[in-house]
Amino acid sequence: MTASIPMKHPDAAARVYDDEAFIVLPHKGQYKILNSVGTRVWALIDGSRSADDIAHVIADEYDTTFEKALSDVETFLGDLESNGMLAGKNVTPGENGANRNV
Amino acid sequence: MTVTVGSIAALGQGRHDFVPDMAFHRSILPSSSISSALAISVGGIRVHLTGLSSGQASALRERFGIFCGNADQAATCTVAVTAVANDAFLVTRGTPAELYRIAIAAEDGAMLAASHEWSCWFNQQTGRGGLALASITASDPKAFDRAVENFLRVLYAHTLLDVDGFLLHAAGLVRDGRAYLFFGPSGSGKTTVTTMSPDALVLSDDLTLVKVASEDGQLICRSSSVPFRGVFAPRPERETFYPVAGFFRLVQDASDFLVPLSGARAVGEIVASLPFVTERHDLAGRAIDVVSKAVAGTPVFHLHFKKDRTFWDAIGGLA
Repeated sequence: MTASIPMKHPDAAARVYDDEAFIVLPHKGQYKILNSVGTRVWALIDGSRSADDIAHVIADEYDTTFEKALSDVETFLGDLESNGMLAGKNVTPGENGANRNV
Repeated sequence: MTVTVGSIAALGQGRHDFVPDMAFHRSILPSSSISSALAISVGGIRVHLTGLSSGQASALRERFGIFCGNADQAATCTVAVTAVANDAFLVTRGTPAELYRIAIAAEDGAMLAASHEWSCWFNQQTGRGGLALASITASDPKAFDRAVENFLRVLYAHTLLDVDGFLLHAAGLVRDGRAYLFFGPSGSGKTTVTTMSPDALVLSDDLTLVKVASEDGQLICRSSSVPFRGVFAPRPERETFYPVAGFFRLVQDASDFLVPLSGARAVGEIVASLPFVTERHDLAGRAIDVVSKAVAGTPVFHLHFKKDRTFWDAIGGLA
């Protein structure tokens, strides 16, 4: 997970209200609400940051260790993936950020 | 669900769901022997239905009352109605048989939809569309009424977003000049609160129209009846909009009380009760934005209620 780049599902429609995100998944007919930390992680999923990158930001902003942040981020990304909120195929960054899977 | 988008080869087999694609709709030739047109106007969206027989037009005028008019003013959208040879588009499933089902798809910017007795396309950019009626609608007036009404439900659910409006699965009840919108999925209690409110004007016990407008710097919600308003609502004599006192997500409980909702939870509860539009990823964001405007100036609650009319006491403070 740490070497992959999580990407939001392209069909997901999301808006943020007072640190909580509301997300519609039309392809699954489902609606999700993320808490404040989850909303921050969701915002950091931009198609270029890896789980490591996201965990560094979370560790800085929420005053926790990188190891703890990475564990939580990976668990959360797994939840997003199992709920169909991430694109089906994660990409792996190559040297200079190139996508090896293209 | 087995849905085929586009295969004309599946036409008429009646064994699979068939949601026709644009090629199918383009292949339909208009009938030359029928020529009546009818305008239907809801919430400022004016739909012209062309290609109707005079009998069909009369039946729709009778059914939709004040929402009907002559097609002599500019239309928001024009829909060509045609009869096709298919005996069905979606198969009826389950035992006991399902009551109704609608499948939604999209192609090249157009919405595609189909149900048991009809299929349609509509392009919101061009304001053009088509409604194909299965053969049963020619011999069964109830099937014709049902087909047109359910097509209009889909069409208006989509087009009202363009004018900061939406259809909500809600019972709309008016007391003292203000609309109280009780919403939730089937079985949540919309009919119950309607029948328990004999002193209220019933806008709808099924789908209610909500429109949002900015007035003097404030976002104001108003609600009105629609042509497809359920069982208990009387035929309106005019299209009247009432200011919305609040949105109430129904929660059956042992006592009556309100829980205020805000932010993502308020928006989420309402969006989850919008018909059809959140099934399309290209419209879901727009739907969220319109609902966000609605809740910016109007309160949203969980209404915990028991099955008697005392729930109005819990709401009383808002009146």
